[in-house]
Amino acid sequence: MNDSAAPTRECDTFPRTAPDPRHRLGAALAVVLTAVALILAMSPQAGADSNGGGDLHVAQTLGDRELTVILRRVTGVPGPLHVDVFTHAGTPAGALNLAAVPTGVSSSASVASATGTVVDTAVVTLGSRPGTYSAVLDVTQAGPWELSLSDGQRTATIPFIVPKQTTSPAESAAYLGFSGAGALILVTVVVAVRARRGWWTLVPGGGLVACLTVAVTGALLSSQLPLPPSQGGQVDATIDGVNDPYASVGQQTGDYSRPPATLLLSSSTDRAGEIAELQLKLSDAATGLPLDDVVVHDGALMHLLAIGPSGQLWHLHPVRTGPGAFEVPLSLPEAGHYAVSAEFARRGGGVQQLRSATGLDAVSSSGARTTAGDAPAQAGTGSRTVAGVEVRLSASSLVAGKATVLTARVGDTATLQPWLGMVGHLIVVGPLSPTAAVGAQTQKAQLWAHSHSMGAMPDSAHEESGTQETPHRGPHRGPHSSPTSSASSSELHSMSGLTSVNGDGIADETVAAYGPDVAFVYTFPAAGYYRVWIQAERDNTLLTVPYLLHVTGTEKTP
Amino acid sequence: MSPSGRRFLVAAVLVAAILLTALSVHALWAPWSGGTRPASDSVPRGAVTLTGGTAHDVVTLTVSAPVTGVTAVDVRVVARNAAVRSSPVVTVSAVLPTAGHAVPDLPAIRVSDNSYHVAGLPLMMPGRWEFLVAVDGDGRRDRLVFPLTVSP
Repeated sequence: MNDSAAPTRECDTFPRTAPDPRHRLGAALAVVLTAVALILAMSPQAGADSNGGGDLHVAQTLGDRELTVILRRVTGVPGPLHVDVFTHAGTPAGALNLAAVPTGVSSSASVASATGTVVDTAVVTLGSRPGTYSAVLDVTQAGPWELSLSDGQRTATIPFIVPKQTTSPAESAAYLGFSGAGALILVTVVVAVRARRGWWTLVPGGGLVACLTVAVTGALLSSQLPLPPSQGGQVDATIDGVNDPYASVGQQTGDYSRPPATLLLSSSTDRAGEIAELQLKLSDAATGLPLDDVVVHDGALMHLLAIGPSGQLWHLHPVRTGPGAFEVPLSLPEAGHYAVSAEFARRGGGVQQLRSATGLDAVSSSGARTTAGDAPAQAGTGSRTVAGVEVRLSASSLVAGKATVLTARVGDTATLQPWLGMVGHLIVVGPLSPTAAVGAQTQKAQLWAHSHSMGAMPDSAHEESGTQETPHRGPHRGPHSSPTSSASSSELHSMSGLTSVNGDGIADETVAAYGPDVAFVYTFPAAGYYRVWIQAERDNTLLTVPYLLHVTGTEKTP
Repeated sequence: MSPSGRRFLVAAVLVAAILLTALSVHALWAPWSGGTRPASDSVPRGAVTLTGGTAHDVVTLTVSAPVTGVTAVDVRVVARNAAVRSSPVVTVSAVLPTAGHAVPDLPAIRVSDNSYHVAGLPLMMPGRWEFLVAVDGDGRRDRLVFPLTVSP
């Protein structure tokens, strides 16, 4: 340190007595090199994480396990991919084999040389207790990938994107401009001090102005220029596209949506008392080709809703086994009709809900049960006890065409866990006959709806009218809630969403801090009886609570 | 300051200013002028070459004219395993997912050991197409998707 500092002091003390042009040249070159280094340091390769992405939560019904697979954000390549597997109550212990496979294409043969091959594997040993079990795999490059999970009998594949941190051209221009301007300020000062003729100052001064112009222009444009289409979300991802999305922009369009899909349903068995392996094949409605562009939506590639003969609801998440091919096991506890509906989203936007036109008919067998009590016989809100947890449902006026607030109090403590990114799920099917077999009725019901809850509703947001089915609200309120208060702080907290503590992504199922009130706002479009199921997670157990509601006709205005 | 030192200083300043200005302009304009894709010398001008792979093969697709109209397509299939294998049957198709347009499955004619050729594949409109290459052989069928933007 002292050795290097000494010449500097000498130079400062005797600036005019050491007019060696080599020293000045060295100083000038140092300034230039510093500027270039600054430019390189702020180049797009190390810029802001505008394409950083977040954690990917994917629910998977793999055999008899209902799992939530969380792919943590990859912050650099090559680097680790942390995979967390969250298990629920009753999930059998065992091992899962994980494998990471790069996919996609590239204009560079060397970059694409490893695509389609397994580059890393890991084993996750699931315990019998619900919780999170983790593994780490290495990913080698940015681009589209697939993670496969195998329990030895079935293999699920989850497409995902390993992003690369990129900077928009406008931001790069701003960085470059300001960096250059900073360097040229120094140069300008040096020239102004050293040069005998003042007009030499104009040269670096002109460059300084040019750099500032570029920087300000880039800064102004950065907020206005359109973002490139999302690789994998809006357009098919390629390795080149992920690495440099701005270079692959191509023709800009505001509509990336794709045609609707068709659903083919088949089952390995139709005998009640057995477990049916359901195969679901998705095809493009326009071309008939296998539909291989399903993206993760609401925490799953596909949400499968199945309603049994006596009103049992399954909300499952079939695993992807190939292009447009999904599989899920479905227990057939009793004979009768099972109505099946699938929700998913194609790349480019737009969620689709497809109800199987046929559903599934299970015939009697020796293993089938003959009685069922899953569906409530009488219409109305009120209390139900499911898995030892009391659930109390209240509703504002159940009138067709008017927004109804359905509030379920699940237990008495704020310990609900977000499932699929939501505090609660509401499934509505109707209008239908309240007395006929539920499976057959739901198959031909005109309406299937799936609504979500982000928590409680502030009191001021709705008034409950005390209909025949909602006699009063008093019993539904906890001891900490004041009937006269407006939105309490806890309710407002619930309405603030599921943002995690660090504000990066949504809270996952490990956070048991929501509820106990779960509110839904739904407008029944027509009068009649509706089958309603409310789902929430508590103590790592998914609770499914059935109700039968009667919606009256539109109120007449005086 | 000596004249020579001044000249060096001026030269350095000029070079720095020009360099910075050029880099800034390049950074602002180059990404919006459309991506240029590298292609080998053996492919036609304007052709696009993309490489993908399966667990068994490395597949390279070359689209001679990625513009609206009819284009020739070349496919190169190289087995990852050097062991001798029977020549696969290669089929090429294309779809425009956003519009729901599809091109019939076109059998690729084998022109050499691992090279296949399709003379005319129709691309009826611009957009983000998917070229589908199916490789049948050794008792299995591999299917690769090559996304490619087709210009007007």
